[in-house]
Amino acid sequence: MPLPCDQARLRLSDLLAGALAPDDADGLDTHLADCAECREHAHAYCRLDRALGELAAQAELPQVASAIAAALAAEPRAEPARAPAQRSLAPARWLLVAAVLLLAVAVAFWLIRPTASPVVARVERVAGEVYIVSGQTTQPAQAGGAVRSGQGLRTVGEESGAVLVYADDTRLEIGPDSTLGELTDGTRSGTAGKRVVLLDGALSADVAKQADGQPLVLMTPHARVVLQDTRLSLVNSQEATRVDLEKGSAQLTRRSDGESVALSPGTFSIARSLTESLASLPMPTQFSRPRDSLPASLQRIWALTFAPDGRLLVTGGSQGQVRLWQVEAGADQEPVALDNTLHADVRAFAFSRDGKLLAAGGDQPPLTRVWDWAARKEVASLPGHRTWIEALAFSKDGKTLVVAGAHGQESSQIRLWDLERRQTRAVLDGHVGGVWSVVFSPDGQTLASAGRDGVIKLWDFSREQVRQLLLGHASEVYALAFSPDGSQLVSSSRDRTVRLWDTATGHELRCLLGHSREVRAVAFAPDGRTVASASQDGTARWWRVADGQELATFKLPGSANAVAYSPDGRTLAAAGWYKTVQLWDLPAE
Amino acid sequence: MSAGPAEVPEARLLELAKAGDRDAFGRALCPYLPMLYAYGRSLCADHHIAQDVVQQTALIAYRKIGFLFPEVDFGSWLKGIARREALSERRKAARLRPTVEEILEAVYDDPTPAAVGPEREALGECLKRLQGQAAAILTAHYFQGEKLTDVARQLGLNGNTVRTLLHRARLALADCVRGRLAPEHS
Repeated sequence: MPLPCDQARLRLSDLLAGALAPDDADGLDTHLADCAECREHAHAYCRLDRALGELAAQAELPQVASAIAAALAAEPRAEPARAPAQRSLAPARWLLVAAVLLLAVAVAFWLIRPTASPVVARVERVAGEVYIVSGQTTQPAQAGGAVRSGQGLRTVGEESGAVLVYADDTRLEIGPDSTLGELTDGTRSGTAGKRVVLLDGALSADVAKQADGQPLVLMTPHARVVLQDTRLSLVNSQEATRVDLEKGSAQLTRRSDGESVALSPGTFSIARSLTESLASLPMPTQFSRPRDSLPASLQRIWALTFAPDGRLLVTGGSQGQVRLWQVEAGADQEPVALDNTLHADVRAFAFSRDGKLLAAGGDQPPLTRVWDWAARKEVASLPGHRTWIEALAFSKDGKTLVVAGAHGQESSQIRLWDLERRQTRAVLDGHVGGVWSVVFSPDGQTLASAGRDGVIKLWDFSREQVRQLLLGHASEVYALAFSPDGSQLVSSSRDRTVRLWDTATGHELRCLLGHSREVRAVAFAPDGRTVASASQDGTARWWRVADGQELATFKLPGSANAVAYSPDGRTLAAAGWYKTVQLWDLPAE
Repeated sequence: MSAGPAEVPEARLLELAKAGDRDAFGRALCPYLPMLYAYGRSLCADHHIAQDVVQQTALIAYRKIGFLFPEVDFGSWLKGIARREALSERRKAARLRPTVEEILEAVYDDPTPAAVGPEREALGECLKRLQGQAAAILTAHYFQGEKLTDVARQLGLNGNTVRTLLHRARLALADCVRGRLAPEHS
């Protein structure tokens, strides 16, 4: 019995969704072969399927692209290009060429009779997971072990790292989650100098004065740096390489166009695969002494925020307490703890616009509590979301609390809590994996969210629909903040970058490169002229929005998780794993 | 610092890629990733497999970039690799038949995206207008990579209902896009 057209079309739908049995596929194919009208329909239908697939791909791209980048990094160089004329070689000539080559290789092997590759450097120290990569094989690196010519090194995980020392005392300190390609020793192989390829991550090099006059050549996907008697650090991201020169001299060459700049001590330069100027810029001012260092005792700090009047600082951390600090009281103070705090770690805070409510979220039920700020009394406890809470935001009218998390069963859900009715009003479901950050635009009409999928979503809050996707980060996005006028959004990511976005067009305005590890927190200054970021690399950095220039680096005692501006914009607070809260007076721009 | 990547001609990027520049290869590949993903997805009906197809295609293309001759279009060449990879996956599922495959081939013949400019805008607008369970199913299937059986379980519906709703959602989308692109609408 012939298949009716509507049934055939339903089967095509099933087929595209992977839900059609093979026997039914036969019937569909027979019908399509006979029915021109359904073939035409099928063509349009498959085209729509393609368009939807390509739209969906935008969300998949960061993950796929980073997987491809990682896979490519492990690949040997591409096979060399061959001239088209070679295709016309007759098979007999191919055989002859192959035979001659084989003979040549055999003779070469006989003459050379290679022993083990020469040792290029020794591993002085390893932390966490560190591997020596040799072709397709990897083996754990050990302190005292050798890295031979042709081998590479990989550090895996947040706490990983390694130090390599060459025979001439040149030292390379490899950062976490970094990959070194093949190390070569040019003094033996006859090429100019030692060569190190940094495929991903960060390293610091302390290069001894070379007795043989041969320089060290550092390569990244974007840059080539030739250095001698130098101390520098180098950070690589997907788009760019930043080189900070502490002492000595170095020649930086952009690989995309061969443009070159001589770096002098105390300057840095960023090489991108772009045509912008490769200028040498003054190093940002380094600050290592904070105005105050508040003792958070045994607490790791996950979240902090200034109270709206700027007189109190609110911190939350690993002991479940929400603590209040007098900003002007200095280090010699005992913080006040809010009553009925959470049972485990406090991971996120939000103040309502009118400053009357404070919400805190954590990783054990009850996951979210809300306090009347003036009375310091709990007014609501929100159960029922099966994820650790990592992000909170009050709607402009204070009636809705947006709650999201990045671990657990419901971590891809963003919940909108109706605070009057004490129940979920809606669920925004659009991220793949967990959500690390939610923030409202100043006008309250746009909710921005971001998380593990590396995609930033701008939601039309009243319609509960995605308005814009911001694509660019190569990995998880941890933090977001709107500029005071709402025209820009700043984001920070595991990919070591901070990015500024135009919220109207969705275009990336700037990519700020400097942190050598993941950037956990970011904040916009109240005047909108600067942004601050805090990273696992143990620094907070202060950037000018207008040109992306890094203005200052604040050295912290350890990895940072949180950063905030005081409401008057004069103080920056940062905190993290190191159990103190640092307060810095911000210098003039 | 500038507002976005400068335009480097594809031919130049491919030259650099042939000389071993992975970054240039990545940049040349990037514009084709959505097409490759959608193609893998259409052929294999699974977003995880589609991701694998794209990744495998990228690796093979990088290894073989020396064999990409100047007269061959890079996008079509990539599609050819993706097709072979997807077909090898598809053999496991054995789902396509000659006529359907021919139609898909024609749809993916053009390496430029299926929806650009007004068509893409219209599709975006129409997606926003979809409502109810049909919208939930379509979103879960395309944008969260869920299998229909899982969607059915999550929504407490039977499999046939979910399949029918997905079909209706696609038809409604197609109608909506047609309507928005019709001359009287603009």
